Amino acid sequence: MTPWSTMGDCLNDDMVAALADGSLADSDRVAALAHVASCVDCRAQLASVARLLADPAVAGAARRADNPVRPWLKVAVPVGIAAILLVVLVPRVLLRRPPLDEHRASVSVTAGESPQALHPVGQVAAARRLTWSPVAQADRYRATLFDAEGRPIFELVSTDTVVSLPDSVSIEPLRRYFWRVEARTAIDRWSSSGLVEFEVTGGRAP
Amino acid sequence: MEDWLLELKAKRVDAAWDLFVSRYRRVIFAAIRHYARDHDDVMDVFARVCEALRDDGMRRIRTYVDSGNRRARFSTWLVTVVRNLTVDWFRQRDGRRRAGFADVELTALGRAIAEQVYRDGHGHVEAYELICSRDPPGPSFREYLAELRSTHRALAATRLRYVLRELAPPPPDQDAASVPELRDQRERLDAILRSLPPEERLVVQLYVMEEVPAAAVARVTGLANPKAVYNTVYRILPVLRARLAEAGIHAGDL
Repeated sequence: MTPWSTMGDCLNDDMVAALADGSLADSDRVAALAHVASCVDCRAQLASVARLLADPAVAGAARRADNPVRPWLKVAVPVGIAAILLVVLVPRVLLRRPPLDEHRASVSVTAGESPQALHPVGQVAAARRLTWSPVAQADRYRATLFDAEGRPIFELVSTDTVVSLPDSVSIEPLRRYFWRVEARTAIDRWSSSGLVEFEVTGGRAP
Repeated sequence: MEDWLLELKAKRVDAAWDLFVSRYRRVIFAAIRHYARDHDDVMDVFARVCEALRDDGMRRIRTYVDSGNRRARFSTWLVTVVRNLTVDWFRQRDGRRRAGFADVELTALGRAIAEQVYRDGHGHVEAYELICSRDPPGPSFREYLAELRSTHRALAATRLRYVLRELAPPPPDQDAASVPELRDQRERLDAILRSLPPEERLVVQLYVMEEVPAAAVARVTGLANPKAVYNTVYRILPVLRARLAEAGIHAGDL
């Protein structure tokens, strides 16, 4: 059936859209074009729609609406890109061997304003929190706790000047521990407190 | 099947509408902004478009998607509908105001022209005859054409400029001596155009007169590519010029 068969009728929206889209079958298009060539109103409407569809903003929006990004792709694409970067970049970074004359550490620890370890220092009754003085330009701090043999047993990066030790970190009385804090004052620039020693006296404050 | 269509088929209109708007909002806004740049106008037209599409359980959209013989992409059909609603909105907005085109400073004749030509969509000659019949004897045709051009310039300097072409064709550049002469020229031009095969005539009409991009003309007329449009036009134009000259119509007359 040819839904648009009466030459005298003007085109409806469907026909105008189909003509503008170029999606009419040849037989329908010939009949419709013959009408448009002789009908001022239909020609004006068709021309207007064709100009509108040629507008890059309209064409782009229509293309995106016709081919929407699937919801799972919105997650999968960034994850895929991240995975590729990880696979490509991480080995390059890890396997990179610095030249002999290069400074061994890419991260510099400066002697500028440094944080001061405030608590615990020396003999203390309890040590469930590490507290230090703030540094003006620092955007984060890294606190590291070591046991008597110098093995790190806890490390945490924080924007605050105090961290609580989790229950998993056991501070035993009458044993020596060491800790320090580093303040990041710029990208790859850290200033460190000195290493301080403390010992929990088991309730007896000195 | 798309999610909004599934909801529509299940007669869950609210859910269907939300999904539909989420997916096609940008298309609707892009089509509206082609004609309206003022933010308030854009939002008012968008509200009008939504009202029309949402009306009666999305009847207009249902009718389209339920018709078994739809041939255009849905987005193209939507752009077509939004275009019509936008142009109607501009006509009706100025029609609702008693004075019509109230934001524009026009003479009494200019206001009458604006209402007849740009609001009601009458042709230039038809509008002239209507104006003369309502307030006889009316202006001379030369005075009318001068005022028509002045009105067009005044409207083109307002927020209507992007939609002006949709409301009415631009006025002729040259003064025609009289209505009969203009009509006579128009009839001779139409006759010469009618002597072309419909497909070729349409290529000239769309590309030259309506200024549709060649790629779009090719798509509409079924020509292979824009180059085929250029070839057709440049083959036909010398023939048309020769026939127009034979009929006593020269470039300055149009």
